[in-house]
Amino acid sequence: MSALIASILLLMPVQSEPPPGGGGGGGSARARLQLIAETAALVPGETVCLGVHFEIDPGWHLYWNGLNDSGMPPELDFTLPHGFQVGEALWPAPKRHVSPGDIVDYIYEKRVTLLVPLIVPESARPGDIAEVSIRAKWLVCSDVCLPGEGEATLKLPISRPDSTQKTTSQAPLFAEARARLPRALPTSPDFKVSWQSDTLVIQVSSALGLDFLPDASSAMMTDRVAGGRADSARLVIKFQPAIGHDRIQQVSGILEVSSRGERGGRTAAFYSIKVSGPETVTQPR
Amino acid sequence: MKCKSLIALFVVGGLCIASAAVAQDTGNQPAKSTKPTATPAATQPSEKGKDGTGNKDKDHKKTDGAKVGEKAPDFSLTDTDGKTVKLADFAGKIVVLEWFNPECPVVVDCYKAEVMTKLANQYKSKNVVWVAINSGAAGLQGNGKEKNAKARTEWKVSYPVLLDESGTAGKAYGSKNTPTMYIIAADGTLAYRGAIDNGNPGKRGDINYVQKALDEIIAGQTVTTPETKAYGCNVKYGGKN
Repeated sequence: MSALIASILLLMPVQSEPPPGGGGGGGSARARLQLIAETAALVPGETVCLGVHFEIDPGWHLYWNGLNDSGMPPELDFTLPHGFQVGEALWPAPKRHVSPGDIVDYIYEKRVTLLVPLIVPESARPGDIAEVSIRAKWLVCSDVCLPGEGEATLKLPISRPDSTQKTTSQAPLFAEARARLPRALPTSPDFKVSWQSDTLVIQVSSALGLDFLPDASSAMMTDRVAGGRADSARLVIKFQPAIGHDRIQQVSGILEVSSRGERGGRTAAFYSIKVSGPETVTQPR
Repeated sequence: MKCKSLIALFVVGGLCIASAAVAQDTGNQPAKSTKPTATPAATQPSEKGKDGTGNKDKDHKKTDGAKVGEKAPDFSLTDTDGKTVKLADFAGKIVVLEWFNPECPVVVDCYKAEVMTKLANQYKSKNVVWVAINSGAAGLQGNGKEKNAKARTEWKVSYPVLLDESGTAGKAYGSKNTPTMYIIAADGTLAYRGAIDNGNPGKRGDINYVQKALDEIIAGQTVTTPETKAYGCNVKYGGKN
């Protein structure tokens, strides 16, 4: 047991080297990019989780990759060693943000970690060091918008397949991000989703509040400012076709369910919603 | 053994997808489409405005602004030289409106690549009038006569930039981004609204929707892509969040 404690105390924070002084425009200072690892080493044939982490100055925000009215979510470009692959990034649930003119966006404030699966090939050799780099571009805004860009590199040793894995000091950031990843919507009767004409009715038993955050493929809510949320167990949302479409093809995104916490207060859970459009008779033009 | 099981927890935590350790998960539930408990809506026409569910949606027309196929809203605004410009001045011509902010990084990229300026100059001889409008409020990013006049000079902009500080014209058109493009046909109806191209804030697209629509309008054809989702910074309207 003391050996375990000793090894935890000796954990080196594994994170990217800071970018060379200065970097791009002001946006590269307002939101600062890091590439972080959850485990201190990689194992051949296994998938580990990397974190594309941003520290965001107070009063500024980055954009989710959902159905925003404006902005630009971070664009990620990885450079990997031969044989390595990355999966699609997982984006934690954002918060709704309304700007004057009824401009509705979904944003991140303070900090955000995008989770990226790194697939380590079987052929990776224990003892080698894998170097993973990322370049990213983003728009970071307060009441002004600034372009940002950054680069980060992570060097991780390949360990033997049978070795025990140590976590890094960044593990809490991964846990924080995971807590906001949407899970599959349960098929229990506690969760009901149905169409009534062009109105979607979402009911979650014992929910104190519901909030729908549409993704980039979703039809649009007709009232994006006040609609899409309820302080109850029942959410009713009127939709209109996505721009450039003449019918509602699907509604998709994240449902935030607010419930009573264990010790009072509120707790939030996040679910993926994906529903085909309502059945309608196609009207002849 | 106690030590080993603690370490095993760390290994499971190494996966990106949330583990199935949370009680209410249904374990192997794949994250796919949820089948709605279907209320057949086949025979119900959508009842706009009437709402038996207590829904308080605003009339989306107010938020979304000018609709394709409808008469384009009038405006009367001052340009950076102090001259008054009205939509009515261009009756009988094809008019392109471009929502503009000289300090929005997305607009800056467009102008460095000369996307709008080249197109405007190219179509001038084809009876197409190009007008930029800045609906940013006083004190906000990119606002003010000086900044917009300077941008015109720096980027060699041949068309006027109109100052819509109150945001009235912007809201009448439902413009949310810089840039947002609108094309008004010679008969005064809105023929296109949306993005300049099929790119995104970080990358130029290969289809310029405005050029495509202009060619179709000039040839007397239907605009095949009359509406797209604009991209860019938010228009810097005044007021509270």
